[in-house]
Amino acid sequence: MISLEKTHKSLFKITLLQIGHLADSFTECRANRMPQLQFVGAFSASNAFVRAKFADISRANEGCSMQELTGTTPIFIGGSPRSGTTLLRAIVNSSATMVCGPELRVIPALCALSHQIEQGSLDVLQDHYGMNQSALHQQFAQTIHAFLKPLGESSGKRVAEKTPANILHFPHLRQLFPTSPLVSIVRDGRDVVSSLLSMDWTDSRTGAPMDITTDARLAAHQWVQSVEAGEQMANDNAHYQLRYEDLVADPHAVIGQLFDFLGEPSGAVESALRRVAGFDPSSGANEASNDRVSQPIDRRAIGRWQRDLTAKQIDDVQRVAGPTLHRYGYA
Amino acid sequence: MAMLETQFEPPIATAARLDRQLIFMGGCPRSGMTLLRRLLAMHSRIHCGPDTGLPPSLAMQWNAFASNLGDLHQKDFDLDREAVRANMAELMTGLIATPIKDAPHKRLVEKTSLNVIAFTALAELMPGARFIHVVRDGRDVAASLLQRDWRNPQGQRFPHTTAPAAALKYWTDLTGLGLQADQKLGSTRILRVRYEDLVRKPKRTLKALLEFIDLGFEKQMFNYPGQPIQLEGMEQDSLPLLNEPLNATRIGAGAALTDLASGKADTVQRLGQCGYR
Repeated sequence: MISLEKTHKSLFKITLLQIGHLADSFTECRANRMPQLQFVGAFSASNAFVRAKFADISRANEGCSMQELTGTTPIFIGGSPRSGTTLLRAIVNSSATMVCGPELRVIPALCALSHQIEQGSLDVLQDHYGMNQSALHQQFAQTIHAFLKPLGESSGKRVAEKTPANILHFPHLRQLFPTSPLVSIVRDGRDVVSSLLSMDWTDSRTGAPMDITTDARLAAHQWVQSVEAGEQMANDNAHYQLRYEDLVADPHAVIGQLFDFLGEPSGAVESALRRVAGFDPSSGANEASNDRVSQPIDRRAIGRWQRDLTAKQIDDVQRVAGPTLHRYGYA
Repeated sequence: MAMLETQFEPPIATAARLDRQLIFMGGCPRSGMTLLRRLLAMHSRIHCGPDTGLPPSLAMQWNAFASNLGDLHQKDFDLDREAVRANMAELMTGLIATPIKDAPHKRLVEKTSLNVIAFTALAELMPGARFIHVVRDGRDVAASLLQRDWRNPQGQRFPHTTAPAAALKYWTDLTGLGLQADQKLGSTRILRVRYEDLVRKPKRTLKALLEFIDLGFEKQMFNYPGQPIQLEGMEQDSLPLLNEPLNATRIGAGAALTDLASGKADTVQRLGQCGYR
């Protein structure tokens, strides 16, 4: 059996001969879920022949869907709000083979519901309604797919979904989508707080300003929650984390690494960065950063907290997020 | 062909096929729904399990998607209101309808009591489903509620299990929602079943219920005492009563609350609407 860990980035280069060997080893892969994930997560979405070949293998291994084999499962993007998630989605959306719409905003709610059922009702469902944990996950995965399907069909591309709160559910999403790439972005929590406090977001139920836009401590708290959720995925080989500061400092290199991880063909970075300059600021009315994203990528927003936050707000952020900021090398 | 379709097994459109077989039962807790489950579960063509709690959650989540995100989904994701409804309906049937998936002659009765707060939304979400609204004299319900030791996650008892006025209000509010659904959905989609009728005139009441869901009466439904049944959660509060033959001994158990109820106009009105004096 081939070394699965080593193949993570090199399977693009797989020869047709090797595919035969992989078919032989597939049964072994199935017996151990994690190696299987590494195995399948490495395939290029763009390599139609490899996908087709593995469709044959899939049929020969009844019970495994194509998505478990080809690495063309949906991509989920998350991060604290105001961390650069919209910039990231604009770049991904500018690739030739992926589509990333504005925030769908159903995945966090469905993950929360799935988790709630798993915690509170699974015994009843299992004993009386023929629903075990695996079937529950499959059901919610199918529902999420059904929400994403029209966009995939109309674009003919692999779907990436960016809703910032996705990150809070990455561990659960991993259970629902064992092979999906999960992409998170981290930005200096002080800049995130500074940006949040400049937002005029309101609670749709009450019309009142959202507390994370008025209280530095709560804004910092949600940043810590988001970052810690990403940390839970540290050992997940199909999770990729990037830094906002690195992205704006060297977009070509950072996006190149991301696209490599996602299996995008060489040359995709150049064209994506070219196209992102033409990002339509009117798309995604629910995204606060559209105007900013339609401008050239620059480093102006790095360190804005030093201009924007009061001494008390800085102190508040430090109290709540100090250890996390330190862990990430921000303070 | 679009990529998503080739890479993931498309969901089978089960909701539209199954929703005529789905019946959602609901009503104020302590109105006799577990007793009704005991009877229905004896029927050869009915699957009636314990409360799952899922239908109200799913219906409310669907409402939230449709009302808050409808325009966004339409514009940016090619998801119209019907597509969102169909997705959530598929989720509902996928979660609870496995026992009847390959049995078109069977019915599945889901008896989460708080379905009553979502009857109308559920009716829209599942256009072929039917509903059973169980009602019982609000004074008797309140008396039963006051004997419960139900607590919230913080360990505090709920007001409607400790204060008679709160118990009556709880019944009044929930029953009011059920009556609104009765009116809105009409007799082809919802049937009101009174606990008192069930225990006093069980055969006639069950026949009407079964006719409502296109089934015939089966005598063995009354043979439930002593038959094994797995009760879950709060259902176990009713265990001693669920092994007795049907009887009317619990009717009037809340008579002591009559004076209190008489002083509350909305409770009086609700009792009257349900035929209680």
